[in-house]
Amino acid sequence: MHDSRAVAGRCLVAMKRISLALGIAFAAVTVVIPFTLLNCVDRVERQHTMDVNKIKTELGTVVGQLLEYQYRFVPRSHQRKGETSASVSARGWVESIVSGEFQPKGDVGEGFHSGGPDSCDAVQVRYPVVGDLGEIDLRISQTVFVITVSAKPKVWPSNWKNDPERAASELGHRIFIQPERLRLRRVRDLSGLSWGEQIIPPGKLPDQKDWLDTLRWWSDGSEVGFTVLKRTGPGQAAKISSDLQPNQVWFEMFERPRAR
Amino acid sequence: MRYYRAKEPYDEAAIAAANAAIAPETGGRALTMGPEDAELRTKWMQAYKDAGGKVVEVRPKRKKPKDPVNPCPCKPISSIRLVSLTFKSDHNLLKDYTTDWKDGGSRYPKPEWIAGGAQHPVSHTMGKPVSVDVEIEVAPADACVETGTLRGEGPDGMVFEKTGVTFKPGRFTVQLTSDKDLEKKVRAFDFQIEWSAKTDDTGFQMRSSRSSTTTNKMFVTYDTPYNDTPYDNGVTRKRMEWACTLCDGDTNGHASVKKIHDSTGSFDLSASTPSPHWKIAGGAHAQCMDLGKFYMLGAEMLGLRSGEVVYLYPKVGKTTKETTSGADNDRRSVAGSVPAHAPATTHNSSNPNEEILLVDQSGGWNNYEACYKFTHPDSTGTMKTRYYAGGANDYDTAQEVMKSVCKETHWTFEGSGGGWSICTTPGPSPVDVW
Repeated sequence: MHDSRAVAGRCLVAMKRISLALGIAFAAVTVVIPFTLLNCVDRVERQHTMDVNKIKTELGTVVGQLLEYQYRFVPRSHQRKGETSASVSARGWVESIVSGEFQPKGDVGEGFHSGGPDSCDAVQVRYPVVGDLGEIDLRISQTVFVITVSAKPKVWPSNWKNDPERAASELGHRIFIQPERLRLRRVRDLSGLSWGEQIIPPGKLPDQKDWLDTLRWWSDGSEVGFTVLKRTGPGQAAKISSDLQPNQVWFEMFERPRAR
Repeated sequence: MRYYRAKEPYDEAAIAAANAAIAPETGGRALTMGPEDAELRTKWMQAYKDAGGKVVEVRPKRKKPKDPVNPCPCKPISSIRLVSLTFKSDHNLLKDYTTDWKDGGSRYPKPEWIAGGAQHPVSHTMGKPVSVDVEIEVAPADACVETGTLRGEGPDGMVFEKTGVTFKPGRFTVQLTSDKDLEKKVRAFDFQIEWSAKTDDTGFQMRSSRSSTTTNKMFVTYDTPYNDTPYDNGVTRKRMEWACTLCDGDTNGHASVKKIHDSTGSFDLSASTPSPHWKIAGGAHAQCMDLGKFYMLGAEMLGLRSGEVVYLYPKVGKTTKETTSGADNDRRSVAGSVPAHAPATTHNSSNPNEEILLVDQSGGWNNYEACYKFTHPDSTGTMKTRYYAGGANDYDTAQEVMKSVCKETHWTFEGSGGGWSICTTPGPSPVDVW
């Protein structure tokens, strides 16, 4: 599903180009050109099939940022100390929440996003998974406290058409460990996207919640995205937050010496 | 050969006559049944019969003679060979799993040393003697039995020796105990014993050689490894070897716990829980409470059990609370907070309470700082308690930990998405600056 709205300001240049292209097309042939939304970060045009601004509005800035960052892939032999530390931490989470079938097979490239020369931000891994649903392009992006998992099947199953809840449930049960705990519901359809969440067992205390209890999902009919907070369950040390401020400074943390 | 037996009732007069007939030779003593009186017994019986006593003739049944071939005399011992060695005083817990940091595999079988075959490792408590069973084989099969001495020279002047050993043909086992205790220090080393034997009668010797030298990897710990916490601490070779190699030479528990503590990096607030915790030894990241649990598991692998994981919370007013609970932040009800929240506030929409948050020196948001609190005599013998902070340094008191780790504290409230935010209105924010 596509949306022709543009983000004001930064994307203005990109919108003008689109208009010119459309004008030329209409003059020559009567065709309907599928309109692709452009989101610009760092003055680079990128294509998304979903509007990250809607995702930011609905799920928070950090979740949207993870989807729109431009990741710089760095071989392990060239990673800085902070990048290596962040990638070790990120791999720990992939091992902890992703099912065996959806684990990366062998070494996969890791991409990093840095807002500044020494600041943290995010790590992404991308790899295909082939299974009973065919080939799925998987992207797992993480910042200090937030993980997003985007799953885009090469061929959208026909029985998922107009049933995003089914798509989210079938993908979720394959992607995540503890599938017996996964119970998803659709919360609403808004702005061309379907949104949902994990059903938390009644009576579960706030302190008892782990990452799966924080799961939210969204879908545009061609891709399903999931986001969770890095909660480890009862007695965890970190004060997990989806706010912007605590989700920065990931690399820098490991550049500093141990507290004295 | 026939002989006569007196028939009852015996004739007293004939008895007297028979006794008188042999009296010059016996002097009146009673006859024995021994071979020395056989001739006299025959003479007595004849005199009894001649004196009218009734007798019965006895003709023994025929018997075939036994094998007339006598066995040859035994041969001298031609060899004494070491067959196997079994440790009797080890922990008998060590498993052969080395693939990764998980628990798995099977206990190493006994015997731990077999000639031409297996050489299995063992773990053993320091400061204790070592007991072993040595299986010996003596040849040839018709060797003469001899007594002698079996001796083993172990590491650091340790001697296993037994005299009066019966060296008989075939295989048999000898139990020996070292004359000295293992040195009181953590070790990972090759426990080698050079065996020799010597018989007393013929002086046959099994000299120490490569074939009579037993070698087993030995891991020496403070005490028997423990696996009595809720966290997996199965005794695998990979784990034991890591701990004993890291702490090789240590003579004091605090020195070893410090090495285990210092082997890990800083805490990673964003880390998942390593499963098992032993993955931390291989470089997995962890939050402070999981680091503390790993320190505890490493210490218990070495047989040190006098510690626990504690959670330190900053309190309003810059004091420190120490508990064994991971959910003991200081709290205040949003509804009745001091200072008061506005009547219409979202701070209690997901959770009626706000909690104190610890901002560490790196700007990270923490609920607490977890430590492995270990109490043990130090090198002078004085009982000492030390807080080995998860991913930070080690300290003498909880307050010292907090002063080092905590930068400032804030009140926080929980949002609808499960994340937390700092309460700045009414705050105060920060609550305390440490």
